[in-house]
Amino acid sequence: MQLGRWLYLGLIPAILLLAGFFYALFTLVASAFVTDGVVGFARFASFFLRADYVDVLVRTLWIAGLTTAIAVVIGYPVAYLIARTRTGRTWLLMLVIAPWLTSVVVRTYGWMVILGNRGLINGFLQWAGLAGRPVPLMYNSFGIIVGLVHVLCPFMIIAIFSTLQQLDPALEEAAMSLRARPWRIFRKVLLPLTLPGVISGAIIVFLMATGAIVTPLLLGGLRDRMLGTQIFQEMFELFDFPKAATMAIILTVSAICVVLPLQWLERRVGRHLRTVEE
Amino acid sequence: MRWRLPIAAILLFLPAPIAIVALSSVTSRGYLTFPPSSFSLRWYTEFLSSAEWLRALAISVLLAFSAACGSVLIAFLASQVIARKRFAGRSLLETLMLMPIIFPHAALGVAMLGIVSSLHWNGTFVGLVLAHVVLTVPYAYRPLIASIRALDPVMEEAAMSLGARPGTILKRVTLPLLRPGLITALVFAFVISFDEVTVTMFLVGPDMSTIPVRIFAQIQESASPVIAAISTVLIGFTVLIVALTQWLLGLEAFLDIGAGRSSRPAA
Amino acid sequence: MNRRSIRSLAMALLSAAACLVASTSWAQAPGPGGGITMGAYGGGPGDVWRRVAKTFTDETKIPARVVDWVDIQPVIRSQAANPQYNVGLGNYIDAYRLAKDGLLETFTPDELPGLKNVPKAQILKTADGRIIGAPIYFQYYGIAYNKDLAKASDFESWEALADPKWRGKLALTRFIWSATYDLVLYAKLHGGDENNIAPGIPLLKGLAANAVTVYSSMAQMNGLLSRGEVAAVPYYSARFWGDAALPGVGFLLPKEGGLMLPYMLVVAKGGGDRAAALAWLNYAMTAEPQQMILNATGYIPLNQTVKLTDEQTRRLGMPVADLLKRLYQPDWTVVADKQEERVNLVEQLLSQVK
Repeated sequence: MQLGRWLYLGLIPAILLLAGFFYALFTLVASAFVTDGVVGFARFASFFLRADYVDVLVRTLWIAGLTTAIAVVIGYPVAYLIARTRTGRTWLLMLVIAPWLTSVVVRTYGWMVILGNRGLINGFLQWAGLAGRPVPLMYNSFGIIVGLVHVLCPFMIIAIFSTLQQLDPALEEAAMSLRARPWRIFRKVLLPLTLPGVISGAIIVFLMATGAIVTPLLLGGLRDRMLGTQIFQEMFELFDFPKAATMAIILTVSAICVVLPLQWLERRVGRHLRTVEE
Repeated sequence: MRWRLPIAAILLFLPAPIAIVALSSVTSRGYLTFPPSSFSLRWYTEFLSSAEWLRALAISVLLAFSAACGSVLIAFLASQVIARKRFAGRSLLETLMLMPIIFPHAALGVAMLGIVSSLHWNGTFVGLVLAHVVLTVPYAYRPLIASIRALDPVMEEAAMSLGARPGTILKRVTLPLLRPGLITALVFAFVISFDEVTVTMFLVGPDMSTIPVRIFAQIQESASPVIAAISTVLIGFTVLIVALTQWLLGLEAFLDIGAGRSSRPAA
Repeated sequence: MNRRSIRSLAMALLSAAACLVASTSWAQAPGPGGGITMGAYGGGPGDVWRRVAKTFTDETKIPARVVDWVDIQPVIRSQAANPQYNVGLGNYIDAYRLAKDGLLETFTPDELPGLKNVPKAQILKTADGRIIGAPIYFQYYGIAYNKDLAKASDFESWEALADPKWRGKLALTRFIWSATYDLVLYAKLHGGDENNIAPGIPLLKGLAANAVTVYSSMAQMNGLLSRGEVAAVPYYSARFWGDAALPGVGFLLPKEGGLMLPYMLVVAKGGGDRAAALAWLNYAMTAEPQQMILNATGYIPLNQTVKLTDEQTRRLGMPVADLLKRLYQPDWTVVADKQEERVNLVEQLLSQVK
């Protein structure tokens, strides 16, 4: 574009913001590296020495990963439906967005009514004779994943929808007129072209799932702690800020390890698409 | 198509807990029951006649609006540069833009508080907006950058070759084409700010509180269904606004920009 | 008016509103002559404290307002540089830890004459003998149970919580509280005390094995109890008083007794008008407001001159003096000092319980 060098000015607000953000983080992060006046990794070592903390970290990562995968699988068809529907599209979007506006505490009451041992689903299963005893759908990892997918799916749906919007339906029509079957169209036409949107949604969903605080607390059981909730406890109840900072750094580093490859993939796909279109 | 059924199931899954909550909110009892055996709108009356709740609602809405505008502006400028120019540290900057989501919010509260209270802005609206802009920039950035990357440069090049100035190109070509991304960014930022609790909790004051923080404060020592009523009101409110916008402005126009016009060059 | 101008109008209105709010909200702590800004837990307690504030202002002409906050320690700690509340309500652990970290004003006994009506054991002091705040009221830890799923006789003893027949039917509070309240109480029941909590561990583990979930708020727990998802749980007495009581859910004090949970008012350091804060504290320690609070919420006055009505005594189940004898009153300073290490202990222990 003709603006040339002037364009770089557009980076200034973002850089200022990030600088402020890192400056704010500095004291907190620094405190994680100091134990009793000695600089070092002692706090990190003591984190990994506790088996239950390592458990919590591992659980956080796999729940977040599974949530993301499910969100993609569920979100894509819904996004597609919304993108290809003309009438009533706004209402479908409302359906997707509405859960966001309710407090998670309140939503959890709804989940308890639906998933609880004395809830609607178990009630139905027992009435239909499909289960002798209540099936534990809540207060375990399953409940947490249901809750997280429910709360994070709209991000995925909207991210994919946004990219699908920019797509020319003529491409699909062309493929269909060439007698390609739906799955093939999806794999060869839709998915590659919307991949930036999918990855974008996946990054957001994964990151939000790793930092989840209230959902695991309300929908999980005694042994289903996630790291976000753990950090919350250190911060708000025990006021051990250096320990919370240690956990926060560990979570950040783990999350970055997953997000960096995703971002790299996104850039590669983007570049690839550009060359293809030319 | 045979996969309409699973999609219908998913579309039912999304509002299911909300529907339960909405139904439970009309109970006349002092606690949430489902299904309610006796009906009353007393919780709605309590909410809508309470100055503190309404004030918190106003603050939540204005805060989310301001934060969304601020962060979309910042993210838009940054994404324009990052998508169009190659420079050293570009991919690093992209990852850094994500930091406010990567770093767990539970720990962010104290960090944000440090800066905000050193400016004596804790408990003020400006302090809240500042913190919320920082928190929502990544959510605004992602859809914008994805949107720009999916944009065909042919359109802008065509406009340039026809002699349009950069300002005109921006206004008439780029922005309209990026509209889905812009709307997505605004919506994401708004919702994230509206729902935000763990950082906001540190930054509110006696005169300045948001709906989620008030709900959080309420549930510790109270099981009143008023929070169910609040949630239902919020949804109803949004539906109303969307319906109104659609009627007055044709919201479809906002969402309709796709359907081919972006990637097909003007014949 | 076409679309574009409506859009711009809407944007302009919202932006104007935002600027208006921004400019009117430069909040600071009430300075001298600024009155009282108090923080309290939301819901029932907050509402009745607001009524108390009104009677206080009527009598003394000092403006007082009560605002709901999330919890005392996060707020006071985070606002230490620029405090916006001058008075707060908290439990003894909160008060002790805040005082220890130098975040509170402390007092001499002369400044708080109401202390003479409070049992000596409930007066919290710093290491150098200064009074940390005004003890106001207490509630206690007992067992709540769903009347459909259990009978009062099932939970006559705290030991019933570990009975395997309740597997998957009980609940436990968050580790911060189970390490602080449950562990200390169970230790006392088995010959230990606030210093020696090891005897309490088996019962806690037994309860954890039976627990289907950890509850994190009254709203959640009441939902679990009323829906019968949980049959019984160690719980707080004040949540079963008046409007808050759930039909179909009972509350009892087991035969071995319970844990006393007292609360006090503290004054934040640097938080404005100290004289007004003192007036407020002294007022709150008198009988009239405490009577009001008991009526509305079930928090029992620590001011021993408050006479309960027959109705209130009936609701409590026994006279206050008898109740106090049956409740364990630990040294909260010890509990507070050891809180973090015990939370860590409980986390690790309970992660292994299947």
